[in-house]
Amino acid sequence: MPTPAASLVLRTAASDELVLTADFAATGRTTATFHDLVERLATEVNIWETAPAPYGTEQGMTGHDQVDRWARDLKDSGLRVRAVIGFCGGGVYAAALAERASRWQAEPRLVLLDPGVVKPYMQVEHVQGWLTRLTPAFAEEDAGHARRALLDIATTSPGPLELARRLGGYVREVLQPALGRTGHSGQAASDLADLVIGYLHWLAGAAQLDPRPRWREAPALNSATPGFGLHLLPAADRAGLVRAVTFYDVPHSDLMRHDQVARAVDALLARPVDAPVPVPRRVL
Amino acid sequence: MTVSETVRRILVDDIFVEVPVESMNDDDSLRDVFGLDSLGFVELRVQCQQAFDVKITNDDFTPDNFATIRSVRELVERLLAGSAHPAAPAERA
Repeated sequence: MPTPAASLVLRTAASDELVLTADFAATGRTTATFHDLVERLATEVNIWETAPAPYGTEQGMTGHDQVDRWARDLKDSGLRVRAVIGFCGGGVYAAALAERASRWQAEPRLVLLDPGVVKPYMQVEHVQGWLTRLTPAFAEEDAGHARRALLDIATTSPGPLELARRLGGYVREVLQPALGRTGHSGQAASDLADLVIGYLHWLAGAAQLDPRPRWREAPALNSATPGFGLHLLPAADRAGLVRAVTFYDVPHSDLMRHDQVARAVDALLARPVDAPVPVPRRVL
Repeated sequence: MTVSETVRRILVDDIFVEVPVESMNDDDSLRDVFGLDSLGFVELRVQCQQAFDVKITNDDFTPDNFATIRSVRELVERLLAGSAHPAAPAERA
């Protein structure tokens, strides 16, 4: 099996099939990752995870540019892609990757975990979260300046790519020094800024893609946390977004370390792609 | 000081983990038991590079290598021994 250039290998198996997972999983993310889910999966198949673009190369990358990197790995692998699984915003990229694979093989099964159509406001919210966490590192007046500067970027950027570029500058100029003032090493502050900027550009690319045509045919496994997955939408707007949904009384942060979710994913991976999706139910 | 002892000191002195050094077990999850988040792991990587004079590449900066004190120790020992290859994911039988 060739080593992928733009994906991480989560499992190798004596199989000519591959499952690709799509997420932006920074090492140490407290929300469970595909690394956690794969530990619980029984399916004997090669499993890869999309890796972010190398830090510093993501500037200006469109959603299709992002997909190109991972799709090349799929094509070059020579393996049959059995399924693509997306978590949260990764569900957007998962849909695009399933479509790409269908250009040279039968379309793989698409599975969605807490799927969320990515919007530019999510980029701003992410930076806002860091600013809030780092507020103790600002004098009161400087904190006000920082908030106003962020608001200006949020309200005057014409699209997700430009928003990512300007927010990236903000991360370097405002948040990175603040990290240093909280006692973190200069290198750690710089490394974390790289990570945040990479994530902002990943979100930006996803915001340019419309996953809904393929999501309509895919099953979703959804947590109970308001604001994640199908909970992003009013109940009346959820119908038709995905083919079927199973809700779990599990927080978003624990969805991929939940044994019942892992069993459900195994069951979906075992079904032929064109088999009916299981009837949705609420799992307690 | 051994590699494990140094990692413990880094966790307490540089990352401010609120667990006494003597209570840290090698196999406790850095994320789930010691509460490190993405910022804590970034700092751990930097401090390990400085303390052991090794380069931890992005390929080595993985959940597997940074799961526990033991896995970090094993990574550092591999790097000190001159091996550039991180542990491969387990192959299913």
